[in-house]
Amino acid sequence: MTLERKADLSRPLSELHDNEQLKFDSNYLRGTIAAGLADHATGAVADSDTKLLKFFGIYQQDDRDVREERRRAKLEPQYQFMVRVRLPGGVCTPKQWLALDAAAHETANGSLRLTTRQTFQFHGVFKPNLRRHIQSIAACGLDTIAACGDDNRNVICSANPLLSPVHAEVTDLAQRIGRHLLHRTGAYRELLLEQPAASPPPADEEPLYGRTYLPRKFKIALAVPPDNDIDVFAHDLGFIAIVKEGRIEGYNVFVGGGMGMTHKVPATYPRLSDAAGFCLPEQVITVAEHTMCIQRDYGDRKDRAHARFKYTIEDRGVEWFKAELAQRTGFELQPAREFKFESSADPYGWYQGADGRWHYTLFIENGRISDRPGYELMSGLREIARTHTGLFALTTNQNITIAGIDESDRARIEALLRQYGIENEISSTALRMNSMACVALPTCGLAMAESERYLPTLLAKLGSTLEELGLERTPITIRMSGCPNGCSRPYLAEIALVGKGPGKYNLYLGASASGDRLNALYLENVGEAQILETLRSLLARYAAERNEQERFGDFVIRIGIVPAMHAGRDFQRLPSLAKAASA
Amino acid sequence: MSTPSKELMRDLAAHVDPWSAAPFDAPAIQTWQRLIQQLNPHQRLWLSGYLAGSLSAAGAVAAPSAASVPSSEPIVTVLYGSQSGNCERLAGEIGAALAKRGVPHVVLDMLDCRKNHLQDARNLLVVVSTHGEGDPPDRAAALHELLHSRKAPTLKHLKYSVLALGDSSYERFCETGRQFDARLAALGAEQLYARVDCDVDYEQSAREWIDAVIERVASEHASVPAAQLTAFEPTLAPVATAYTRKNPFLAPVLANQRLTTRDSEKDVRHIELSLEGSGIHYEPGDAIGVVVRNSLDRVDALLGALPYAAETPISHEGSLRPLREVLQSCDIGLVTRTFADKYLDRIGQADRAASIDVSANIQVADFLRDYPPRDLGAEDLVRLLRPLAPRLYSIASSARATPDEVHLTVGLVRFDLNGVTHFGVASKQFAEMEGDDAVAPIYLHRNPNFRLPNDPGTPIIMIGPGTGVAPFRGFLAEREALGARGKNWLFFGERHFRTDFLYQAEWLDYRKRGFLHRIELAFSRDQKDKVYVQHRMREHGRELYGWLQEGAHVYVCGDAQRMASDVQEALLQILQEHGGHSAERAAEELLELQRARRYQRDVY
Repeated sequence: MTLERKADLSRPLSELHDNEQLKFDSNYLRGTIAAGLADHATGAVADSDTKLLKFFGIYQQDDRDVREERRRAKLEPQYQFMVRVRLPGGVCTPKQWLALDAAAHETANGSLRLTTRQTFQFHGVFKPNLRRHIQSIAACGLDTIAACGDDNRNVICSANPLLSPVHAEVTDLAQRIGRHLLHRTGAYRELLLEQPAASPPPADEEPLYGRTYLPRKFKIALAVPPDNDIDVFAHDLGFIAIVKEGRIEGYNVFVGGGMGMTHKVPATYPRLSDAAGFCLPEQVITVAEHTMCIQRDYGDRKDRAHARFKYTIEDRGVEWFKAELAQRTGFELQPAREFKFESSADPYGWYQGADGRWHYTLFIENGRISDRPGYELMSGLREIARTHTGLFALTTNQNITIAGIDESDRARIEALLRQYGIENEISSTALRMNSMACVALPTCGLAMAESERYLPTLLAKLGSTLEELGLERTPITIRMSGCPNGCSRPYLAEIALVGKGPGKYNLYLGASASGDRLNALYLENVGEAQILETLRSLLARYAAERNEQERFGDFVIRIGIVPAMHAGRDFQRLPSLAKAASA
Repeated sequence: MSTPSKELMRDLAAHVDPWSAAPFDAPAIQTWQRLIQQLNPHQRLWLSGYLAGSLSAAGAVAAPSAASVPSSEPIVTVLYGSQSGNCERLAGEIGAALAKRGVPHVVLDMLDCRKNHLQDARNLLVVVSTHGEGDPPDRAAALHELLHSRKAPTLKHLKYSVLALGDSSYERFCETGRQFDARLAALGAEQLYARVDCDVDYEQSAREWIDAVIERVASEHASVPAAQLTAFEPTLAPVATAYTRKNPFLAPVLANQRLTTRDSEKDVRHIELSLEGSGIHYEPGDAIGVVVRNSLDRVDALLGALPYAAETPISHEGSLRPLREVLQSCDIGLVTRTFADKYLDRIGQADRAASIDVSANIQVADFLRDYPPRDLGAEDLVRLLRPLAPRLYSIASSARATPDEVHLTVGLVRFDLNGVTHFGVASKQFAEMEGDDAVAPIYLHRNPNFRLPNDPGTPIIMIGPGTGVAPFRGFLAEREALGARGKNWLFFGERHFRTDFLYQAEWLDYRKRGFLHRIELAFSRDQKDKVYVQHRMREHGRELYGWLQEGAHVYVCGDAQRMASDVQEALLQILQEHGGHSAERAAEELLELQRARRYQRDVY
């Protein structure tokens, strides 16, 4: 396969995106971060440093709710930082939980946010508190390195290592991959932890990444069938554990998945990953490293909207990738093996693991952990963390599993959940329990519409419809995202709403429940009234006309509401049937 | 402010061709002459005032004794100690009146007054105000100290009189004037005329004192001719400042923008006013006087405590007006000592005066409810009340950068008293200046003692916490408009960075554009230990001293009660620590800086 190398690492920096020069000149991500943190006249850092800080899980934002008010008051925007923890496998100890909870109160806005990549996010960290915040995270043995930026992000895997030895092994592997692919610049230690620089400085600070790191972010996920809670096909690199008789034989390797796109730009699209083959457990780290390095060398460094690995795979083909990988690793992948996913949802409530211990998966609306009257989630989890002897496992659906509870302890934990009013509500609709929203307004700079703050309202308005139709117990995934970049993985939901502008969304329908089919655009740029009307009538038809066990996502395709979307390249090319019908 | 004497005018007239000395080339002179010929007398007068104003504003009269030129041995020395400019203006008026009578005199700023000036003086007319808790004005401090020290000269040869300005709502009313009076007497001087203490409505009493002392001087010096008319009436107030507190310009409110966030403990407003058509020409450093009036709600609350009908006619400023209207311009806020004493005397309860503690913030309405006026007439009561004093605000803009506009930075005063939220009178007025037809009654108040350096290359250090930052917004705008290349360093402080950083975005823009070279910030309540501007000054003491060595001017604006003295203390420390001076020498250095107009304060 010989494709011209027009925009990758082989080209001079002057031909590439400005960010490439910035990274190159940054002295391994140091930039002018130190001067920016010392400047007390502004809550911001230099524009160029905002890009570098992302590599350390630090994302400069501002409170968009007060942006205009502050502009008129001749004040700069209310700059603050979002800080994302690196938590490979999504597991933390009760002690770490308490430390993060304390940090949220002391140096952030008092809440914790669970993300779709199985980790914690803090919002509202002001510049004077930033170092202290990072250092208090470090004090409990965690860090924020590579939680954002053009690097390998938090490696995620099927939740709960205590469920079975297989899960424990996969979680351990996720953590090892994360460690192996971590960038190594001393900038984090020197500038944020305020530790002395290495002496003498290493000859090559980044043997794996080089001075310009990756063209864009790189995401790895590991799944243990039949659960596809992590949406394994939505990542740059996916590993699916092939388990025979309680033993992991190896992993299917999938490459080139990803969610983000730009509205109305057909060359951008969400894409499901392609099967590249199968590798042995001991080959996983080698495969991960070389796959990332292939993307490092061949990814588009000119057009950041075309820089994800999914476009490299789409443009060059999976066969090219397999050959390139084999050349680098010295071995060929075996043919992919059989597997079967059943669901991408979390198992709520109590369940027992292989060793007899109990686990409780708690629904957390949109991953936001805070207190409100009658629902003291943050206090309740803190109280549980004080005595819990197992682990906390974060799910990629923004929920939490209190894992490894002894039989004798279960009643006590139950009592605490009840005491703080945070048990999973029996009355909650299955639609709500299968909902997910990204953060969006007021802190995310990319958001075009509300998401986390709005989805609960929309779901409440659908509640009575579901009851009338007898669908309140029928699981349907619904995901909302404030922009098309897809943090909440909307394109893999049976119903998705993706922000277009204030109060306006695109409505997508028809993804599969197991995460192996994208949804398709149904209505463009519609407001609440039309969303409700449309969903009510479709849900009514679904209640009346569905086949036994038929999921909503499959139903809308069968009755011709939307086409089945299998290839990302078609995502923004196929006309919306609804639009065509109304035209 | 200079008042040309008659002799000087004659000298000037004697010049064959005044243009021969003009700093213009021939074509420019022709242009000027042509333009001037087209002017009518009124226009000439206005232009002369305008030029004189802008000249003094630019600091051109920085030479010691911005005073009248004595034509011969002065008979009278007018000595003023001014803070906000009122005493300075009165001194100018006295000078003008003396000139009119042909009395040789000199007008002298206390800052420039040395021992020998006192020793040489014959009749000394002292005009001085009192600040804070009985303190002398900044520029009077050195003289005040000298007179109270062992270095004080004997003044047996001297006759004097004191005009004291003050505010009777303060405990130590006219304290500085009293002290000068007592001290001059103690040093052997003879009182020419009894001291007069003026309250905030000083104009009438001041005029009476001026007339009286001049008459007394004239009668004692036979050489002084009786009142005569001169050919040229020196005009103190050119048309440019024709608007006064009695006759304010109604400036349309262009903007009334809160600068602090909604959740701030403070409400600070950025006010933009239109000066279009007013003929008001200000310089950075000047102030705007705002004439304030009580709201009718407030007046009605008082009337509720009184036995008079709201419409009771009151003779006020030459006409009969309803009581309700007249009370709008009276100070009906807190009871002052003077009011309490006089009022209780008038209602025959003078014996109760000792039990009234005015420091307990007694509202006039409550006081009158407790001590009803009995048979005291409405008009008599009104006579006892002080007129509402106008409020002065440092100008926060540059006419060069924003022509026809003047900007103010106004901190609204809000306080809870006995569970009720009260607004300051001016604050309420500003808070309500909304809508297209809102106007602010204003006049220009010159502040020639707070001026940018003449040399645009001179570095400046600006210390302005809180609303004290206002004039520095004007300074930077001016320096940018002029393309002044001197370095600029701002010290600002407030409570919280996030909510109270006045004009933050503008400072950042100036910094980006290279007009603000350094900015030091002290947000007192963002950390456990309170940090103020003086702490930042000490932290950067070495650099600050370095700037002084480069000739920097230091400006301080804002709170006089604590900030100004804390900042001065910090400056003295820096002079000691980094200049290697003794405490005494540092104090002299600072006084030198002050005399050289390199250390200027606008504190209130």
